[in-house]
Amino acid sequence: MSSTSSTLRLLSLTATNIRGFCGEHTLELGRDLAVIIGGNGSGKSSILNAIEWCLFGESITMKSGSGMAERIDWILANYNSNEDVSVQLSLALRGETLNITRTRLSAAKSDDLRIELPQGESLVGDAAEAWMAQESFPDFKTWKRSYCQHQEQSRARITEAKDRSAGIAAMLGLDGYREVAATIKELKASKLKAHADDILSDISAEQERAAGRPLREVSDCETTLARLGIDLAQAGPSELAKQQSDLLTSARTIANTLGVDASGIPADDASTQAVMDWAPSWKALVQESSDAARRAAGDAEDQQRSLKAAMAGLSKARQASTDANETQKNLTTQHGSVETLQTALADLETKRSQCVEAAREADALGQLLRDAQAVVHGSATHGGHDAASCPVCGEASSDLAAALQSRIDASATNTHRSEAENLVPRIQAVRDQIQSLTSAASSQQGALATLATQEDSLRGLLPEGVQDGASLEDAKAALAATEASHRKAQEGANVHQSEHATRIDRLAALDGLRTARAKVNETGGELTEEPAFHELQASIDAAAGIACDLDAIADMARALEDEHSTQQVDLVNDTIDQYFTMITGTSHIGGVRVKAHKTATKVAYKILDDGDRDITGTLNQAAFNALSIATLFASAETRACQGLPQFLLLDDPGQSLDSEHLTGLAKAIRMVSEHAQTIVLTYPGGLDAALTQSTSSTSSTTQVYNLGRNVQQNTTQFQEVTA
Amino acid sequence: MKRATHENLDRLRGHVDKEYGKLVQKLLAVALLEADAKRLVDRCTQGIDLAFELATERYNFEVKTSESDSVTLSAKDFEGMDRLVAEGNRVYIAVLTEGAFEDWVFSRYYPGEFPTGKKLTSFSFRPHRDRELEARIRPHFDSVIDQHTITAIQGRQSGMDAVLETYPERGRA
Repeated sequence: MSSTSSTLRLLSLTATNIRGFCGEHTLELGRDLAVIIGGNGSGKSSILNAIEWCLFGESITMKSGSGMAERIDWILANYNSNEDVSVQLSLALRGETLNITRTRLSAAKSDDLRIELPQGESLVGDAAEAWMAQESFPDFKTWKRSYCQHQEQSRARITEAKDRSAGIAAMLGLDGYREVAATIKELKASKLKAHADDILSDISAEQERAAGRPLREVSDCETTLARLGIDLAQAGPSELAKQQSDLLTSARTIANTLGVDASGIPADDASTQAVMDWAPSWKALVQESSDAARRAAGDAEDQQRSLKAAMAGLSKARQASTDANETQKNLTTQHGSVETLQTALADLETKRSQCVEAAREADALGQLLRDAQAVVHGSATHGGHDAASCPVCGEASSDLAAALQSRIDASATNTHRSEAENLVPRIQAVRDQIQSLTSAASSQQGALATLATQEDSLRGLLPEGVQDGASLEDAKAALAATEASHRKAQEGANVHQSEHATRIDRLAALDGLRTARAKVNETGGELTEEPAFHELQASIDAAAGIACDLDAIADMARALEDEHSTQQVDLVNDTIDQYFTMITGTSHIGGVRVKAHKTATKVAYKILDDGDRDITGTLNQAAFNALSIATLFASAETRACQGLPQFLLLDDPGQSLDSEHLTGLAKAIRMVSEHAQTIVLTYPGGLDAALTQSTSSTSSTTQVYNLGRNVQQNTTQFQEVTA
Repeated sequence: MKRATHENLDRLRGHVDKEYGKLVQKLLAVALLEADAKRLVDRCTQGIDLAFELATERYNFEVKTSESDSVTLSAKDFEGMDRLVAEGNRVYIAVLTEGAFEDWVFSRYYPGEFPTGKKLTSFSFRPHRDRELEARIRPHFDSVIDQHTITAIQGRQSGMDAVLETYPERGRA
């Protein structure tokens, strides 16, 4: 391939307060090859950072998504400086000089990009970015693939299919087709569809908002209906009518059960609104009636309890009365009536009085006889009298004394006293009998009085409708029936109430659903009939048509890339193989070549060996690095030959390479620098030696700098070795 | 498509599970008959799903419904449609996906336009849609859905077949 001057040349770099540069430092470049040699911490990577930041700004950090992982937390400004940060690149483009300057003021977070064009015109911000794009300056992705050898990007250039294919396509000059396909991919149907969906979603949201969220109401009603066991598929007018009919029927059943006035229940053909208006008051009425039934049942239960107690009392009173009656009857049978006994008592007392009197008289007679005997006895003893006869009657004294003794003996055996004494217990017995009879009569009276009281009490407990003449058992049964009736009514009312409440809820939910749906239909149901909606649909159709066309264009771009790649591949294969062989010496893996293959969505590239094997699966670390650099160099050479802006920035490209490979790499660098300006950043004692060995013959095209570190000032210092 | 129609389709989807596609096909068939389609053939297994005549044209519909926002065309679908197109027939893909504002898209089928086995949203079918035909069928479909959703839910395919039987213009598969 013939040597060609690149259209782009980096003339100088002026870095101020960025990374390892404290204060302003200018590095003159401009020759085909610049070798910048420095140890660790000398500022090699700061040069790389400064150039990349100047060209791409924040894109080089991870924040943009395409930046370098190592810059995820990086700080742009120099550690020791609080001044503004700026980098200026002086470039020669097609023979004219221009300056690209990026500045970050210390107080600001954003950057300012300024380009001073050869004609004196200045471009800033977006205009400057646009100018760079127009002049085919690479974006950062392309830069990473085709302009710069980052240490961490080296393997990815080969192993990452996307990077590899894009890099090779760029090398083949076919990246334009890929850009078309990539751009179209960005505009793909799915994205347009998503955008259209967003618009429709916004319309839907706005529609809902304007309508007071009727859709939510519909959803809520449907949830309620599902909970109430109504099949949503049937939640239409007929179900509404059925539920309404059921509700009214249940209301009538409740009215019948509780004895509530049913006249307020709406007619079957009443409007749902009327039913819904009536339902709450009916619900309250049913509740009230149910409570009354429960209270009445409780009252009947209490009444039954009182009746039972009263009945027990009455039973006792009756028994007492019967007992008293029986006692009296037995006593009367046994002793006769009180009157008879009182007569007998009087007779006995009279008889006793007579006996007592007779006994007293007998005692007096006896005394009299004893006195007479004494008289008789005294006369006979003291003379004066004829002791042989009674001076009065003249009866013989002996006879008289005997007669007196006989009469005294007779009075001594007075039976009246014993008879009177015998009458006392009999009289007492009769008195006791009379007392018993009187007591029994009194008891009977008391029992009768108690019975009458109990009967009065019972009469007071008799339920309404139970005749006085009815038996207490009848009354009790009537009360039990009343209680049962109330209980049943209340229980029935409870069940009906529950069902009724559910029916009201169902009707309310159905009515709510109908209302919400009506609202939806009023406010949004016809949206699809609106002319604006049709216009929107037509726009989406047009977008779909464009997407379809874009897909076709993308297919065409892929087809063209595929077609051209077969023509271009042979051309670049030699270049890659040349660089690879140059770096690695005699290639132990044979030739290296690129092969294109078309997939459903893109054209991809593989790097194969002579045996048609995917080379990426066989390489060691050094070979990977060599292949990555070979591909990069081939790409740079090819692009430069195509007149595209191109230079190479290599950050420690010799890593993993032994001295033999480093010698080959130096040759390769020298060769690629003839096509594209090349800046090599390397550490001392490695690639620098291989590169500087041959600089004497090419000093006019090569610059060599040694980088040093001013520790006190914490900054990089340049020392040009060759000029 | 009216919102009420969407709601009814949601309801149908919730009740019939895997039969949804075939039931919607039959509901569409009824809508076509309501729109004065003649000699309508509704197929459940082999061949194109619906074939009918409307205003002197003979149409063939491959019906694709989905409970998501996309449908998939199988190799068998393409085979059948390609053959019909090769024979000079007018073939459409009738697509109905799930979504608040989704409606039937009757898209004229041109061989080679769609990838096999890939999920396609209704958006993909819009470039070749026949809006005139859609506009003609739409009100009938709304009406049919309003009228026959419960039949579809309760009677399933046989229920819908019974509805189709009431139309003399229904042909035999």
